[in-house]
Amino acid sequence: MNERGGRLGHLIPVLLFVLFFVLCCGVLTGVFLRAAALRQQTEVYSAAVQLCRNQAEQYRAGQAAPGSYWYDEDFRPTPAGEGAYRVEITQTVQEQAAGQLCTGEIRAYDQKEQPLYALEAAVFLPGEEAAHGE
Amino acid sequence: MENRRFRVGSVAVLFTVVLLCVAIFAALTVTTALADERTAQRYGEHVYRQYACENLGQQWLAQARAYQAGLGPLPENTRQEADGGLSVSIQGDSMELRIRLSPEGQLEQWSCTPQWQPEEHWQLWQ
Repeated sequence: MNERGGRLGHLIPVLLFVLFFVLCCGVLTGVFLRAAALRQQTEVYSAAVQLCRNQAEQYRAGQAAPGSYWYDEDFRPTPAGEGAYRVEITQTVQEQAAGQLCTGEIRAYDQKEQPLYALEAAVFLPGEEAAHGE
Repeated sequence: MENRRFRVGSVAVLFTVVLLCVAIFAALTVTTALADERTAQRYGEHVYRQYACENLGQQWLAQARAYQAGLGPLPENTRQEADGGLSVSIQGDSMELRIRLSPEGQLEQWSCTPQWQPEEHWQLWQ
């Protein structure tokens, strides 16, 4: 009986250590998962910034009309509704004395339609040019 | 019994060292992820400020072209060059945009640069 009690007494520190080890592993796994989630958020945000910037330059150059554009994770255009990102351009036109000042509001959304980033790009078109994007 | 205690202790020390190493890797991973997030946020803010400054430039361009066509007054803070061209320096939020228009209305300069402010309080070499 004493020998059995001694064995159990010997196992208690081992069990405590195993419990401590498992707890530490759980905490560290949580930390790694949190870092992975943070990295994923950063990648999505950076992609949204890049897509908005590209779209703004195309808008200024007159190559992007108001509307929605879909892109996959590699920034390749995809058919409507199938991409990982949606970039939307809405336009306001102000008549100026010598032409038009077109301002495009460019917004990027993810698949769940959560807004990721927004940018405003303006371009002045002299009077002889047609309305932007038309 | 002594042997068994010795073996358990060795494993405990080994596992503790492994835990410490993994904890250090976890801390480094989180630190790197946070730094990446800060960098991405700053880049996003920089792009936003740059476009806000360039939008002001487009507004100035509209007014300047109207002035050159005789349809409006000279825009504020605009300098008239000796050759009849127009130039302006637009200060945005930590950005500076310099534009120059030829007398014919052609863009000769459009440079948007961040304003660099030196840190003068650090004393690195004293």
